[in-house]
Amino acid sequence: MNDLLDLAIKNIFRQKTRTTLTIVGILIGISAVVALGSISEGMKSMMNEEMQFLGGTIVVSSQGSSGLMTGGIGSEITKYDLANFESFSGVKQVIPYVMRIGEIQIGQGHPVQIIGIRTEDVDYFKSRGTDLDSGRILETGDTYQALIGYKYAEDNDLEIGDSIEVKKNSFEVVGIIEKTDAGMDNSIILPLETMMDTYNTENYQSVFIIPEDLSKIQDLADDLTSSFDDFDFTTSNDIVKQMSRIVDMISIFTIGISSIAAIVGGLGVMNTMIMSVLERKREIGIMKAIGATNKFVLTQILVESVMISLIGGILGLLIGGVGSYSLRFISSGLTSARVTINLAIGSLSFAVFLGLFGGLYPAWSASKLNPIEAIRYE
Amino acid sequence: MSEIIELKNIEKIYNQGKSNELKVLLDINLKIERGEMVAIFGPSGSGKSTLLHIMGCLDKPTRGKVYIEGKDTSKLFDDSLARIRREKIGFVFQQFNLINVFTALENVEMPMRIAGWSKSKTRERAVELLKSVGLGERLNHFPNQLSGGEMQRVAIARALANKPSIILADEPTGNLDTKTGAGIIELIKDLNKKDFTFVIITHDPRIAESAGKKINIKDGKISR
Repeated sequence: MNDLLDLAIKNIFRQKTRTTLTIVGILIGISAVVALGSISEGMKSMMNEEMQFLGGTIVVSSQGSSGLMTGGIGSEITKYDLANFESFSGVKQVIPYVMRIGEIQIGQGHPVQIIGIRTEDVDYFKSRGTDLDSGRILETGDTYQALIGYKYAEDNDLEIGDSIEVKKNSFEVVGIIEKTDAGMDNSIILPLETMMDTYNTENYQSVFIIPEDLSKIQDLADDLTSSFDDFDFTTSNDIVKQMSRIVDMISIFTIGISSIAAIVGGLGVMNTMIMSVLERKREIGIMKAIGATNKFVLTQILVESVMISLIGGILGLLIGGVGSYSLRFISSGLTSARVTINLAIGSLSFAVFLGLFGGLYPAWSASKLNPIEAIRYE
Repeated sequence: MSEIIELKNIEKIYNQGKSNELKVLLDINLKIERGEMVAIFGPSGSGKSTLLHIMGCLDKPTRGKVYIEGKDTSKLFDDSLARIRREKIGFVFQQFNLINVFTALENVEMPMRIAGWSKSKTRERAVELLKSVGLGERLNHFPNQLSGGEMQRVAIARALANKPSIILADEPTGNLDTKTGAGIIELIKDLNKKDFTFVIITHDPRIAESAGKKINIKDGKISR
């Protein structure tokens, strides 16, 4: 096998230009698979982070704004509605919040999300696995105090004790939330009352409802739906389903498109190997005459095509990884594209598969050559 | 003396049963014994090369049996025949049939690499073989940097690589001038003295002279 590899390297670089172009063909396909695949991988992990956060809750939104994805713009939940939810049988806790997208400031490409929650509810988020990087959480009595996301702190060079300005009001940073790789990283969290004053609103964006019995979450959501006409009650299960359907569609779309590019690369490998076998017909005849078995010839051609394709795959993985990183950089962290181990292994296996796919026919036809005829071939 | 190759009732017919049927060999019976030097001659188209290919398991007869060191090869598959070629038989061709992109050394190494020998052992033996055919100074030359005689010496070294029981040569001096051919003939005679068995297709009277046995093929039959 060692000898085969050695020979294969020698053989594939006999036609340097052709081999290089074939490798580039695979490289383009695989780097597209990696770069685009990393987007959906990133979305999946972002989704998991968000879900960990939402697990076991019912999300209330006013009808027409469908849940999380729209951020509930224009939705109206009043204090009165909140009290009704709170007294509903089977409800353990309600957590209202207000969310606004911050003004885009000059010199910063990405808007921050500003979230107002009651100080007593901060513990709830903490129990959901979101912890602080430094400082303290919001406490009862806090008014012009704020928690900020990891990325927001980093981008604006903020530390505990610094002050930030929201709508001309100044807030003291008391805590920085640890890195989550989700939307939380680019957030400001304010005490709800202050936030509502600041934005001059009486109503909540949305409410999380926590059921008394987690196993009956769906029943509770159904009961709520039939009791309140004006609101949608979405369980985290629904959201997970909804979101994973979207993410799956995006994955299929992106991987599908890039796979087509890679398969075209595989056809390039096939073309190259067919040419190579044709050019080396006489030589293959000689090899067989001096004792090479059909299997030896078959393996040799296959090793060559897999090698071409694997070189393309490895380079494609590197370039796709760089592409994925720059995508993340360009979008300032909004798409958390990431090249996971699975994606790396998957794309390399795909490259090997393409090599086998492209090499099988030429290898088979080379192995079946009649040595006497092949030797006479000029 | 033991038999290396035995042919029994060999027939070779191309396009059998069709209008362009061509009977190349008819009822050939032949024994080649260890240490012999056999010359096969005959007019072109008489079936000499086909006979040599059948002896070397490179081609299969239409009828009849080929025994290599007593073993019947008629029921063997391609890969087993390839293994027999690798282990028992060395080929030398009129056109040399070296691989142009490989050096002399690499060409000689090829049969050993196919057989799966270790790299160091392969290299060592290839160098030794090339030295023994007088090409110790030409190891890293490519075929197009070698003269015809030198190429044929490389081909002979390659044929010897796996220590074959027999060397089958198809007009080894056919493409060489008289003087160069004489050198190759001397080499073959030397090797024969060292107990290598040769079957040589030739028009060259000098080879026929030194051969212990002469076989004349005419119209697909052995004529004496």
